[in-house]
Amino acid sequence: MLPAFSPALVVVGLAAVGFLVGIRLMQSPRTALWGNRLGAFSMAGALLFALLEVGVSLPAGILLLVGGGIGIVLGQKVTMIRMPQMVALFNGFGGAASALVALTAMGVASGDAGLASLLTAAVALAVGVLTFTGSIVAGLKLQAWLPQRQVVLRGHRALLSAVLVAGAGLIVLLVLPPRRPELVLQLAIVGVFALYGVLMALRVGGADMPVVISLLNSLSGIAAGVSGVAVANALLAGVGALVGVAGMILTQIMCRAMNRSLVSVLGGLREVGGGGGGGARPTPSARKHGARSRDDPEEAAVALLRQARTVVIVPGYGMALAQAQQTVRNLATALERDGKDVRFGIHPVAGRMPGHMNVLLAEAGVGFEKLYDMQRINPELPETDVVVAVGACDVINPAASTAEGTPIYGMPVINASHAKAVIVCNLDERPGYSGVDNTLYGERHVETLWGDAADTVAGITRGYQRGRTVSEPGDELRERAVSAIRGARSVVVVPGYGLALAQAQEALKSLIDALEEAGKRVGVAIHPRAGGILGHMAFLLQSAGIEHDRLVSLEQANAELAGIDLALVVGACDVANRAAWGEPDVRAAASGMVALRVEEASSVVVCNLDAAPGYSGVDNPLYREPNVIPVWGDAARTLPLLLERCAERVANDVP
Amino acid sequence: MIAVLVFLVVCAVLGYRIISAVPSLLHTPLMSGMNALSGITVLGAIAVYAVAPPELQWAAGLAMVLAMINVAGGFWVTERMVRMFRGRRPGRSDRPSTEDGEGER
Repeated sequence: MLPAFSPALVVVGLAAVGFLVGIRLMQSPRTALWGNRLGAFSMAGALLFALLEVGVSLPAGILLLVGGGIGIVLGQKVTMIRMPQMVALFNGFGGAASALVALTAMGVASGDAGLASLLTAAVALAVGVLTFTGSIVAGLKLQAWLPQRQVVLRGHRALLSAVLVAGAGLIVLLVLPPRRPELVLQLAIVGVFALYGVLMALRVGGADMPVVISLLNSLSGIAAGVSGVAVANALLAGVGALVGVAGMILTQIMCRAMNRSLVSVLGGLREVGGGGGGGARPTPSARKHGARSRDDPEEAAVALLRQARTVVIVPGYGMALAQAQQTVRNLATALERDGKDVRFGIHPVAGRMPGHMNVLLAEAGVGFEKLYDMQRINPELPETDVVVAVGACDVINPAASTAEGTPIYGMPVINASHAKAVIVCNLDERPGYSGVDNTLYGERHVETLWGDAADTVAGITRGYQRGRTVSEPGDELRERAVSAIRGARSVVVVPGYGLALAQAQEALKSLIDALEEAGKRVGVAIHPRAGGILGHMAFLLQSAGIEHDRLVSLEQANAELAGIDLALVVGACDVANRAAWGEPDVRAAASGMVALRVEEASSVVVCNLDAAPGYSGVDNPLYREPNVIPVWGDAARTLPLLLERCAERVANDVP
Repeated sequence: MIAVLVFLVVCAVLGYRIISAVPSLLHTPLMSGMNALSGITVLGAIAVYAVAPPELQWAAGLAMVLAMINVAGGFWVTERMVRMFRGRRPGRSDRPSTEDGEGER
């Protein structure tokens, strides 16, 4: 029993709080790094205290350093696609370590072992061993060194039950008086539960791995917790319980997401045979090619993406198998460059372990703010123009809500079919792991591209980008705008409130910087009415780093504009609209003031959202002037685009 | 032993509340972090190593190595992963974020 107050108690409390707060910080990607570090710090503290308390022996120190070294090498070398194997291996090590501690503890206490400590040690030994062998089998399966499919022996379930009963019997034998742990008995327990772990993991198929890994994670914690009770180490018990609970929560989440019960996963139960499938059902291909044959699905997909404003990419494990993460990210980048809203919809079991897909995409450079889980993305899908499914089958199968009696009936899925159009980039039209045909493939608003996702997605991306530079209507204007910008020696920028609405101040600042770097003279003309309140625009520009000394007043600008090569209008309409100010018969918002006479510059590039009139409601005749080049669209995207094209041309000019 | 059990239950209950709120985005780092925490067994290993009879020294020693692999490897790989989630926010990250407040209005 622990004394009321002791340094040990303080250390235990501090470390436990450190771990809990660390996990609390793991609730947000912004703080997770510090959460992990706090956990590591707490662990280091607990370790140091344990060493001080027991006294460090040289061999112990060496062993600890060896373990730490191996751990760091493993942690550094592992690739993100192999994280499930890594976690499985660590689960196994955790289980083995706890089993070994329990074994040693039994030997230490062999003289006067109490029932409770002997029983807990035996349970820790059993759970630890089965965690170890189960994890090793799971890891080998994930690494594909063992067959990934489920391996079911004859009478598998009976065998498992028999082994479990035998194991329980052995534990009872061990703790019965005279309670002398005999080596033979211990070894028998080890052997029986090792067999149990192997049998248990062997029967689980590849796609059920998220459940099994979570479960083994939990078991490794339980083994640690029970061994902690056995050796009366509070911190070991508490943290073990923490790990056990975490694993259980994840197991629960994974089961729910797969529409399976833990019993059916571990029991290898599947309502529909995976290999079979049967020939009676109509194949999607028959339906599809009969109903509507498209000449080229890739072209159709490109056309869909070009028209889309909102795109949701739904990756499945097929994407990871095809190693197409980077390709998919490139597609997302290409779409975003054109101002499209691109997000990722991630099903909980999209990878081989909880959260795996998020890590794979983060590794490919996708920002976490674009990663949406199923609950968050589903309400958005009816408003989504295009869903691009990459290597995802079961997790987007609408049959989950309609096909009663199938294994996926009732399984929560990403409702890709609710989007206005769907592009499917899967390897083939065969059903996914569930064995249930994907009814999505046959729907009218779905384009299917069969083949390796790395190829098909790259094809779409190429087609999309090619289309962008050749046939987009705004493109020619943009090229003219680029020419005008590159040819100008003096530039006056005319910002309007549209700039602020588009939050394009920083983009403007980058463009101005680039122009100055190219040796151009750049001024910024501010109309008193630009911005929400007087002086607002100057303030907005100031906070984006565009300094006061660059600003030119209305009068000064109008006096000089005739001699300027280029006026660059950004999100400004009324302030450069003669019609809105001049004629007395129009609804002039502030008569007596004048417009900026931007049309007097040799050429004018207008980066406004559209050709619609501003607040005054008066059409802007500026847009029809021959020297005006409109580049319509969100300034936050058109400005960087212009800048990029200018830079590209420079690069092309050099060789 | 009662005190240890009580502590175990308290940790489990608090852990349940906190861990439930970790978003699926971070479930993989959570698991590898839990691997690291399961290496807490090293405390037990250190304790039993000191008192283990000679014929069981190997077991305690091996437990120390395995548990330390978990501690070091778990925290290390979690650090790597969490960094990926944090960094590489295109464009804006390298600028002072005076702009963000403006955007809310």
